[in-house]
Amino acid sequence: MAVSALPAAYKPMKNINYVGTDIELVKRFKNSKHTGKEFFNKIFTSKEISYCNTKAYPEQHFAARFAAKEAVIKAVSKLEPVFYSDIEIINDKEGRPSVTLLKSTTNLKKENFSISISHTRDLAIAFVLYSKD
Amino acid sequence: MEEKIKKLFKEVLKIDDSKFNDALSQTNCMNWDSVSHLKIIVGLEKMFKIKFSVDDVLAMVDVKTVKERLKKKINS
Repeated sequence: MAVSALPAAYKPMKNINYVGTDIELVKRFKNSKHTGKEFFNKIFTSKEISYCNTKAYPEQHFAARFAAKEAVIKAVSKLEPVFYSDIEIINDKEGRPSVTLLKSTTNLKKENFSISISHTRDLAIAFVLYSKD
Repeated sequence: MEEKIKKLFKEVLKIDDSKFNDALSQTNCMNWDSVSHLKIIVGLEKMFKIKFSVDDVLAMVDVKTVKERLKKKINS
């Protein structure tokens, strides 16, 4: 069947999708000689740091957020450069994470990001989809 | 300066003296991933009391460029 003959609901989406993923070792985000305050401040926003530090094992949440930021950077790498501190990963009341871009000028839209994060005791993983209309 | 940089790279990348040279890069060093890269950047910033730009951070993908950008930053 030709695409034009399909009902509107079955027509292929015109959006172009960009994906990014990342996996991190949780233990690399424990406080140590080379992961002090300056390291966390370079990567994470104050909101993210406050959130992670309320958790029993902050390193799991820092690792998950770092993986999320890497996944965002990879997903939009063909569109525009973003740095870790330009990206904020915040959970809503139900615990669902979302991406906010803190850059003053950007063509990327917050609502076009979809993100999923998960972690175990040892590993954190994130998957990001950016859908460009 | 060379010795300070070498010490930092050895600690972060867990490499021995023989591996540290100008050609060492993110491409040929398995341990030089994004987390290690940021540890190196922050380590250099603390050590030399400087701040790298995002452009510097993205450009410093090998030891040669790290030294060049660092010298430029210190002398600016």
